[in-house]
Formats: sequence, structure tokens, C-alpha cells
Amino acid sequence: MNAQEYIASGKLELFVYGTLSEEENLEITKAIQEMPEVKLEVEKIEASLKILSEGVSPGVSERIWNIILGKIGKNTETKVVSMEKRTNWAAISGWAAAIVFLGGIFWMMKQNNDLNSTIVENNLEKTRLEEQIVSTESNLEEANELLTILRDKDIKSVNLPGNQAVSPNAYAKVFYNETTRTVHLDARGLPEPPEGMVYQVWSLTLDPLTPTSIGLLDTFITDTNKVFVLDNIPESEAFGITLEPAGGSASPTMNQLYTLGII
Amino acid sequence: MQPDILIAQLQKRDEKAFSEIYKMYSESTLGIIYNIVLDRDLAEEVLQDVFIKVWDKADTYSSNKGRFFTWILNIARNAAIDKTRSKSFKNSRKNLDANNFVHILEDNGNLDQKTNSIGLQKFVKALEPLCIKIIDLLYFKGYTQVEASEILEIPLGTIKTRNRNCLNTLRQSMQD
Repeated sequence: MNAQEYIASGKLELFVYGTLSEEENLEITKAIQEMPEVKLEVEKIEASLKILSEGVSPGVSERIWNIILGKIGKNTETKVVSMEKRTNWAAISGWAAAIVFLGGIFWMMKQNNDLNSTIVENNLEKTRLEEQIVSTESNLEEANELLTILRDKDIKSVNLPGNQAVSPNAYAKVFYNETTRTVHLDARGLPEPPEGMVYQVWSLTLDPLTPTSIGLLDTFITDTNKVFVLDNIPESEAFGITLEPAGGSASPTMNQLYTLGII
Repeated sequence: MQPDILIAQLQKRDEKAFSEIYKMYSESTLGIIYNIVLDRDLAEEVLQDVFIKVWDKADTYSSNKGRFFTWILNIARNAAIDKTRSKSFKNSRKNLDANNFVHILEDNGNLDQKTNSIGLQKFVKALEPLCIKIIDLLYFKGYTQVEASEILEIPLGTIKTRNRNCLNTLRQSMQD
């Protein structure tokens, strides 16, 4: 159909009425797009129908627009509010999840730190216990060694009782091995020497009375078991211990003789 | 002319465009509604519903489907017909058959507000009785051609051209 045929068909009026079938509607829409005369005719029909309809109107009250505006305002508001609510829920749950997550991370970090410091503490404790074991073992070894020495058949045990005039309660014991020419001296029974003074151990031959220095107990205060090993012992008939100035003396100071014992 | 720019703005929910659209189409829309419900208060109630729907459903309108005028017209007719089925309408029922747009035009106290309506009243009254019935059924009431041909007892094939001739008479008298 050409433009004039469309115009004459009566379809354009029904198109504006909105009573054409879907198919015819598409046909006219296409014709309007392609033919300006058809479009113009449709616009004229519409304009006259608009005027006719306005003539039939009892007149729109002023208040109607405000009512409509209020309702769509309310609608948009509710929509906005509901949207905000929705957004808020998402945000709230998101933040809540994030906070819980962060809290979880911090808690786990703290746990991790605690565990790490516990491990460090435990390691220190372990080291300390290991050291204790080592030192106990070495103590035991020393003690066993000492025991072995004391049980040796060649050992002569010599009591060195305290000198009544100088230190009546003092005593010492000497375990003398003539073969190896060593002495183990148990000096536990001696009092702590005054400052600047040191115990000196002497080997004695009685006829003639000849003292020979066999050692200084200069570690007396720090030594825990007070057992001292002295080597290169000359042939001896007695042992004595005197208190001497630090560094020791060439010959014993007899008025500071603490203990003396004869084999 | 169709206010395409305003329609596009309306579809983006621009209240100012909506206000312009309302100014352009509210009066004609109320005319359509009033022609069906025949009660001013009810018609204005329906008018509110129609324009709220226009606002809410604006994005569903497409120029490919027809004229914007026609889109609103369809909403208005459907809303008005729905109203006639409602309880409130039945309680205040008027005799629809005794009324059409010509009777309304004759009674219309609103006419003095619009200068072109004074002439309109005269032109409409000059229409043939059959033309008035055809335009009333097809345009104002939204009847199909088949329904109109049955009610008016005229052949289906002549409905379209009859309607066109009737409307042309009116248009020509309006232009003069």
C-alpha cells in the first residue's frame, strides 16, 4: 500500500484508537516510519481525538496532580527506603562478616603467638632440663670416678683431725695413692678461709720433719664438693693443712695449722 | 507531534517531564474515563490510578508498539472499565447506554473553560447518529470492529471506512 491507500484504509484511525490487531499495528508502525504523509495523518487524527476527549472531560481538578505527586513520591520514597534497607542488610551482613573474619584472624594470630611463645618457653625449659641432665650426668660421673678412686686397693685413707689450738672442729680426709702419687683431699670439714687467706696443703716426712707444699686450695670457696685432686705427691708420712696469705708460703705457718694427720 | 524527549525523560523517572506529560494528557484522559464511568469523583479517582501507572510503567512503553497517546488511552479505558465492575461503581450505577460523548458534551459545564470546546459541541451535534455510535464504541469504549458491527448491525467490512468518514467530518468542521 502507498501512503494514500493507508490514509484511505481507515486503519490509521483504529491505530490511534488502539483497537487494531497486533499484526496490523506492526504494519502501521512500519508505514509511519517509512512514509511521512502517513505519520502526519496519524498525528492529525491523534490531535483531533485529543481535542474531542478534552471536550468530554468534566475538567481535571487542581488537587488531582498533588494527590498523584504525593502517591508517586510515597512510592519512590518507599522504594528508596526499601532499597536502602536492602543495601543496608547487604552492607551490614558484609561488615559483620568482615568483622567476624577479622576478629577470627586476630584471635588466631593471638593463639599462634601464644603457642609460639609457649614453644619458646618449652624449648628453653627443655634446654635447661637437658643441661641439668648433662650436669647431673657429669656429677654422677665425677662421683663414680671418686668412688672408683676411693675403692682402689692402693688407696690409703688418712684422717686429718682439727688442731685443738687453732680450729678444734676442723677436719679433713686424704686419700693417698702411693703408686700414682696422687692425693684426693676431702676438705669439707674446714671453715671458710678469711679474705686474703688461702689453705695450703703440705706433705710431711717425720724424721727429719720436712714439710713440702703439695698445693693451694685457692678454689676452696667456689668448689661445691670440696674434693681436691693433688698430683706429684712426694713420699709422705703425714699431711697437714695451714692457713697462709694468698699465693701461699714457702714453709708452713705452724700457728695456723688447721689439721694434721699421720699415715 | 509526540513529545519524544519528554517521554524519554519520563522513562528515566524525571518528575518534571511527568508533570509536562500530565499537563498534556490529563484532560483528554479524564474525558475518556468520564465517558465510561459517568461520575466525576470516580473518574478523577481512576485518573489518579492511570497516571500513577503511567509513572510506574513508563519504561514498558515503546514507540514501536504505537502512539504514546494510544498507550495512555488503553490504560485509561481498561482502568475505567475495571472501575465499572467495582462495588463502589455498582452502588452508584448510572445508565451507561443512555449516555455517550455527545450527551456529555451537551451537559458539560466545563466547556466555557475551553474556547475550542464550544465549537466542538456544535460540530459533534451535527454528526450523524450512526457516526456518534461508531466513534463512541470504537474510540471511547475500545470495542473491536467485530463487536461494533454486531451491536450496530452494520457489515464488518464497512466499519473502518465508516469510522474514518465520521471522524473526517468532525476533523474538517474543527479545522474550519
